[in-house]
Amino acid sequence: MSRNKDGGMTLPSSIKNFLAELEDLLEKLNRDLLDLEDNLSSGKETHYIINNLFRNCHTMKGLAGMLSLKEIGALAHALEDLLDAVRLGKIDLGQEVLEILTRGYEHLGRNAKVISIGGKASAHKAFLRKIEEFTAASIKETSPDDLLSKLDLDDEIIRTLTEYEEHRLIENLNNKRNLYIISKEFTFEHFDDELNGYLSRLKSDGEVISTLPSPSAEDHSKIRFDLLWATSSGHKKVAESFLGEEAEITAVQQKSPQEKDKSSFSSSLRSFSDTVRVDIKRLDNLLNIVGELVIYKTKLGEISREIITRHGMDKTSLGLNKTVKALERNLDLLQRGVIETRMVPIGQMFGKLHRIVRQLSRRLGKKIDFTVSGEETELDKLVIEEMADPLLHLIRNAIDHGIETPQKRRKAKKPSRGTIGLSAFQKGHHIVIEIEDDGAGIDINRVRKIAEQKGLLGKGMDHEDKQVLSMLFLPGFSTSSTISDISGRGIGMDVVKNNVSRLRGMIDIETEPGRGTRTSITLPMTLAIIQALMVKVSDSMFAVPINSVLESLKITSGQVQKVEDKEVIKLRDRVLPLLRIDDFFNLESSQNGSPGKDDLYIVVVGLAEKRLGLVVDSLRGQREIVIKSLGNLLKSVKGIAGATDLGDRRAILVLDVNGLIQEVTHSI
Amino acid sequence: MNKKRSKKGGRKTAKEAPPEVQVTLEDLLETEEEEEVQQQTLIELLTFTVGEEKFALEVSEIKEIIKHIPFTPVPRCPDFLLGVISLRGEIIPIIDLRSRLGLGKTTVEGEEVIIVVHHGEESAGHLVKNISGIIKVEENAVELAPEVVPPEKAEFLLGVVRHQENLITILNNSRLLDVSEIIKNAD
Repeated sequence: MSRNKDGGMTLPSSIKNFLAELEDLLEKLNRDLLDLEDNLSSGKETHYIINNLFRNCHTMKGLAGMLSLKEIGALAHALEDLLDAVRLGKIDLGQEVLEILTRGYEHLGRNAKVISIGGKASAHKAFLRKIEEFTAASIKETSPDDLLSKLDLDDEIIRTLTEYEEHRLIENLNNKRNLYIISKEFTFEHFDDELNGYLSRLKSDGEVISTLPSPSAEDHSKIRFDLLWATSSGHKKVAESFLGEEAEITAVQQKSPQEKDKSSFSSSLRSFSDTVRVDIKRLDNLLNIVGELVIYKTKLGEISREIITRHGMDKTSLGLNKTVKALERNLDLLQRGVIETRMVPIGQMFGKLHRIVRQLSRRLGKKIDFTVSGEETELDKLVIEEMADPLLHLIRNAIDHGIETPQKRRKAKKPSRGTIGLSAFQKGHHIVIEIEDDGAGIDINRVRKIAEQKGLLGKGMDHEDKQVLSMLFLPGFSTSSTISDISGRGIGMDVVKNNVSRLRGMIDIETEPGRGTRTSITLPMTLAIIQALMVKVSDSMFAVPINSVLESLKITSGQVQKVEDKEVIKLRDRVLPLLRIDDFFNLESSQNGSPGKDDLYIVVVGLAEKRLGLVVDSLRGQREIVIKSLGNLLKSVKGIAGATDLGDRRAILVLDVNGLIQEVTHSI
Repeated sequence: MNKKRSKKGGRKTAKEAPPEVQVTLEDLLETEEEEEVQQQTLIELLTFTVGEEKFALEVSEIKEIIKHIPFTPVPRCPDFLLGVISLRGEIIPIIDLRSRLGLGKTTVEGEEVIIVVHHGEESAGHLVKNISGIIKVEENAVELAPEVVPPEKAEFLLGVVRHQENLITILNNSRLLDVSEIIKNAD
């Protein structure tokens, strides 16, 4: 059993579950708030969004209450009250309400984060008071509605309507919509599905104000519902669209049909979806086990082949061989299955970025269209988490440094609205995320000058643009002459690079002055099980993650040249710096003295725009490996990303290509 | 990082409960009864020799003891870290306890044993020449440590107990596994 190291870092699992659920709810709130803002500005329907928000705040309040998280509960409660008043038409929905909701959402989000790291949530007393005061002050006195009494609706029905339904009914009548009662039977067994299907059809052409189960069903296998429906379609059109259907439709005039309570069938005990929420640690664990199995599978395959070579193809060895093959196939499926369960669509994160773009562009007085594509592209949950900060940073940069102000843009004969595009797509075994803006681009000469001033680039030398751009990723490098609180402090790009390379990904920048910048991040789809090239140096075996291997070549020692005391080779007109693994790791060369080796194997690895040739003794083929951490004791060892084992109890070190490249570039 | 562990009171006996389990009334009653039966808390120690001295680790911190298996050296790491092994798929760093305690280096001959210990989520193996056995001592019998190791290594000692004419030094496992300062200095 592991002990609680630092005391207090381990959250009770009830809180953990809550946090997962809270995160979901926050995500929903976020999406609804964005929709709300859109619909509000374009004058579209908002009541169903308000309803969603109201429901989710309510759920959140309940959850927080169960776990006595007072601060979250109080916030959710205050928001719920406000939303309730809005949905009942007691408060007009306007910018002010939207602002309060947005701030409330942000406070909740921050509190959730604080709790997740074991901290104490903030009560936001001032904000709470503000909501309460606003709600109390803005509530309009509701007028007694003679509208309803004039209606041709049963009193009984009117009495069963909830306050909200009544409000919607009046609202619809005020908007001069036609009112109908649709009475329809559904089979008892599937009525929820059937009803929901039917309701969504009705909703597409109006609003279902109330859904009332009706007692009049004679057939016991059926259940009848009376639906109070408001639509702007005329009588004729309605009659046509329901032609030949088994439903009674009654137009509600100034007299009386039927109605009843919103017996909330949608919120029955059944859960809404078939999904299961799982702690990511459990999946990690599963994946580890699968990783082990993969190793044993490989080992078993070797044994089986050895038996065949030793004993020939007798019945037993063939049987074993067949079984191993079957095992391989199934294990492959299992592995893929487990990996798939960890995959989540990247769209989850795009929504959050959307909000940032709006906030920042408003603050900076820039007009920006934010387009996203490929939201459905799936990535490992952990990869997505790690990518949140880098993407945020790149987007901020694009807004702050990329897109120009509308005046500047007009001067440059560009549309005054800038565009930032965020897209994700799959490319082989990788996922590419691209951030593209049509802004001013990066001033390469400026970067070059700053780099030269800082002594990062030799003066007067002819550096390739790519090399100059790579300076942007160095810690503390900033081209912005003014520091804003959004970006330009020179922190950020190095964080972006670090996160990306920790995920064994690559980052590339393309820029064109006046036209814009495109940053693409290439990431492996999953982290845990990777393909690796096994290499041997002296007597040690190392694994090189295949996704950073560009090619491998065999050269003779004569091809190695020296530039400023560093070994390099010419590779297709480019100078490729070499790194001798045995020197770097101080491995004793067991075979012979170094000059004796005539044939050298070079594994060309690349990270972003950087290339490096690793000098090894021999290549030992490709393997599927599970990378494991070396633990805290060894985590700071440079050049090693972790270790793996091939089933023979010997640990094999996995090279950290990024670390090696850094070592080399630093020492140049 | 939990630097000093209190020597009094809360010392747990060998089989400790997982940290998150909530204490029920029954549990409380049970512990009370236990305490009545035995006033003295016994601690179990695994004893072994490093160099000329006898040392011990608390059994509760030990996962298992294995025979030496070949380890993979890890380049560019502190001297006392001999390398890593893969134990049933888990990568475990191996510490040369002798070198860690500043008592010289162990010449690895392949006859050594590895005491696999854990602290929190961290596991590591202490390589020693051989182990002597397990003893039980009263917690009250633990005294302040004498200077059997160089003064700068004193943080690795918890205390000392007398057992059958022998003076046995109890090691502070969590400090042994904490290399944050070394790594900071190396940078």
